[in-house]
Amino acid sequence: MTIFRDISETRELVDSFTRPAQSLFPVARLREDAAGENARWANMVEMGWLAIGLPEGSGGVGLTLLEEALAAQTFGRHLLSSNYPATVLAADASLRSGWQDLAASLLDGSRRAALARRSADEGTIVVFDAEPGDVLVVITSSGVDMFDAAAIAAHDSVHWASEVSLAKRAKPLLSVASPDLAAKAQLIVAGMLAGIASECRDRAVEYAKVREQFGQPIGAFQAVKHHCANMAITAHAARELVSFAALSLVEQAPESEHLAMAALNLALRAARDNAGLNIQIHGGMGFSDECDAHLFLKAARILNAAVGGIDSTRQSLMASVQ
Amino acid sequence: MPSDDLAQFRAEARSWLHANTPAHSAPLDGPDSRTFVLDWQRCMYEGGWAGLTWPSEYGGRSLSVAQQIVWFEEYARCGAPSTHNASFVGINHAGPTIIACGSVEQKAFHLPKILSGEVIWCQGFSEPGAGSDLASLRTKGRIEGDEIVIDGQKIWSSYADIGDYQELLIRTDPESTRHKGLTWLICPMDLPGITVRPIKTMAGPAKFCEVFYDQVRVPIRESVVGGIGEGWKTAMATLSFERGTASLALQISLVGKVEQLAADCIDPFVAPRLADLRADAAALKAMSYSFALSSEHGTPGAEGSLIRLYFAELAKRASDLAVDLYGIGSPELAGEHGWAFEFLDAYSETIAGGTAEIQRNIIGERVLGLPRGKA
Amino acid sequence: MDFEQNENQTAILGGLEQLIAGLQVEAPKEGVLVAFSTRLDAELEASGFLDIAREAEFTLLDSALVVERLARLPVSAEVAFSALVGPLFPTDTVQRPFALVTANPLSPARFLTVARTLLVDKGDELLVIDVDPSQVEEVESLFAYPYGKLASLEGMAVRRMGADLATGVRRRWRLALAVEGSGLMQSAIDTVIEHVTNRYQFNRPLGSFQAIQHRLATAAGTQQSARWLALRAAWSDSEADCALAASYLQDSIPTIVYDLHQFCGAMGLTLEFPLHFWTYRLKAMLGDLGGSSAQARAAAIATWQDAA
Repeated sequence: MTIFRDISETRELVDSFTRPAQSLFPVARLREDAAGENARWANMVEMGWLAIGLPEGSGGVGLTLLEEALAAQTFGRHLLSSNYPATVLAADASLRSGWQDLAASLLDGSRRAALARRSADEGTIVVFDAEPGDVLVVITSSGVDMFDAAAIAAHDSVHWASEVSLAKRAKPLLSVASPDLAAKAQLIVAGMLAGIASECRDRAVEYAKVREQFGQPIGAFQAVKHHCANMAITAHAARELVSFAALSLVEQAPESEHLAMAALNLALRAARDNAGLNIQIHGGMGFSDECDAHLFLKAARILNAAVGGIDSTRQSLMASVQ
Repeated sequence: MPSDDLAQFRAEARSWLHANTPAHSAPLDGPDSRTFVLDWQRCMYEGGWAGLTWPSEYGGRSLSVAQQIVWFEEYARCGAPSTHNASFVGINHAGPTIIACGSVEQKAFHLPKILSGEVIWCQGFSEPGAGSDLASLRTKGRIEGDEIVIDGQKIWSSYADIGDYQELLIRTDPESTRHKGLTWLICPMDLPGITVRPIKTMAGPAKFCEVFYDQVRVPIRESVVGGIGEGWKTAMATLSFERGTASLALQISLVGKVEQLAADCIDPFVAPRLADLRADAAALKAMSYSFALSSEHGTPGAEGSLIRLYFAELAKRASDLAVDLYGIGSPELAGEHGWAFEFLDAYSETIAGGTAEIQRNIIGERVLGLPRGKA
Repeated sequence: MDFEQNENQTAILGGLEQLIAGLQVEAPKEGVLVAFSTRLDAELEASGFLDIAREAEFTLLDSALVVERLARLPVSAEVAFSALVGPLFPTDTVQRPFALVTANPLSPARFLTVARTLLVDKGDELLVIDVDPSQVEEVESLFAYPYGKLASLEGMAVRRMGADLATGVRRRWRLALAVEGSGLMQSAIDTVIEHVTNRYQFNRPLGSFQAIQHRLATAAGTQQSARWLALRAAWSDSEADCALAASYLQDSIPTIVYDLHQFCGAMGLTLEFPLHFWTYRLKAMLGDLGGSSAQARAAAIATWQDAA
């Protein structure tokens, strides 16, 4: 196989595999029934969406990182929480370390994972979208560290970040250093961000076609049209780079690790920019709580914090120069 | 194509390019540039590497997109002459238009000469009053028997001063307006009545030209392509089979240049910008490869505008950063092919061939389906 | 803050306008890259306009207004350094025109081909070098100013001055960038507005297209911000204000230069169109003193170091 191949068919396959997300996870659910989100987690299990890239023998679907990264884009569009990448990575890390029971409990839904970041002095840990009982997943530059958390409080927000105390220099439950696990983490998060960027573009364009002012749809005005064009360019670049990076990793092409980090960097900027422009295009509506636009912005921000911010990707990209 | 064969193809391309890439860099304008470009085209032709994107029935190699990608990767790696030189219009625009719409005689006469490096083509489309709004062009052609008599003026015709032929778009129906009543024709540049004035650009070279036509006579049969009055359709013909590979060399080369900047970067203030630039360059590669591969067996989507614009703006950011990185007066900036030249030349990328603003209109309207504004 | 010109300023700027009108300063007609006017430079030196900051009745701000007005001309003269940095030195201890470099005295510098004094900011000390013109090599540059560099320091008088003066020069260098930059931006924008008002495509002036209007409006906002930051810095002469004004200017340059050239289309790519006489000088300023990030850092340190 070669990286010089057209992946349109793979894209179609993954689209149909993940299409139920439209009815199972409509974005409006976060506004209308946020409290029901925990219960919806079972869908992830039933649909096999936590195990796309895991081998069949371990309870997975047996596909590759390419399909996983493409699926992540759909999940990003539907604003699945950061529990999704956390759980996928935790299950993978557990399997690699021979922790079968933990892996099984993550895949059958009886346990869940949440992304986390350690403070510089390693005394506290900030957790994202975490519920009591979640296992914590810190994405590191070399792979994944997992922690059992004490004292995580329950929350009623749609997205949240909270600080939890950790015993000073507490050791992780599990620590997996592996370039391809690190790349997987980068690509799944990048995929979600690319999905956010795409969905924001689509919603802005849709609104620009129907909202009329001064006797015509606002999308007819050049300033608005150009904003939409910019969103299209940004979203397309993010989508293509995530896909290309995933394909390169699957084909073990040279510089594929660089591409994964580049994809994360680009997707972080793409989600941030498009989420902002989507709000802008929606005008006053966009700023209100009744409109979904702000949810995309907040989700992008959570993911950004969970991976250590865009600056950490910049440091990695400069450190990796040959 | 199986990857073993592709590896073999790559090895052949690399070895030929290593052996044949000119040692000195290309002159940027004038007669020296003509000689250089024709020599290189002839060299590629003799080596069997000309017309890679052309159908084999017209002397091309009909390479698959994967092979074209590999060829252009090796091309950029060897630092071979930029494909956006005086050979560009012939190979990527006039030639393909003649392939799509030309008569049997026109194809037989012109296509081999383009491929073998005998002639240079230039483009006569824009006018002082017709830039972005090309359809408002006014250079006219009066039909007299079996000739057309041309009067008017074109501008921004790259390499018209060293060109042998021009693809010329004129208005042959005096009653017509806008896209109707236009004719695309082949105009030899040595005809009486043609005056060419090179214009010096802000980047230095005088490669754009003004061209004046004073009662220039061309024979209808040899010159008109696609039919009288069908000029707009003819001009658009190449769009339906443009596979996005014409600019691959340039795009891949830009990615390589960004990597070079990153390798040279020791300035902590510039580093974060350079990191983003590396990611942007990787995205350009991903988009252009994907576009080319996905259009191999069908009509390309409208993403071409998107990629073209992305490339242009990335080229500006990269050269901007290079100037900041190396500093005024540094050897990397100096000279005809230094970064200072690239920086200034990059300003033309968002203007030539459709301005960035027009591209955004096209993206907004054709890719996203947004409505056109009321006048 | 009082935004109206006072009497002194009105008088000085009126006098300057007369000098400019008398000289009939125009953009070069041929397509040249460098547009330095020896005549303008000499007249300004003789007129005393570049020395007003030394006089008791005028302030640094008044001098900045002179620099800003002159920066709007399509030709350059060595104005900003003479008017804003020069006054740090007691009269007759240094000779204008000035060239300034950071760290390495042999680096290329603006105006070195006409300069009598080269100032080298070495951080904790300042070198003041009396330039021997025969030792200056012209440096080819695409950025509108005349550039030169010294082959060596042989035979040239080099005075070493302390950290205080080095700090002062750096501060005034930042001010010079900010003030000159704001004037350059203004003329560039004015040129573009004229173009988009008169250039028609699709049967309407380019300036009636919303994308252009909005970005030009943004550019105008940027220029005004740059202007007021620069004038404030000239008024306060504080480390923080000067660094902030320079940082803002340098940060704004890439976007504004891109947009302005974009709106002038292919015309704006030619040397015959005057836009480059201002935009290239802006570009030349971009990397001075380590670029906008370095200035931002300096502003932050100057503002918050005590609080930290």
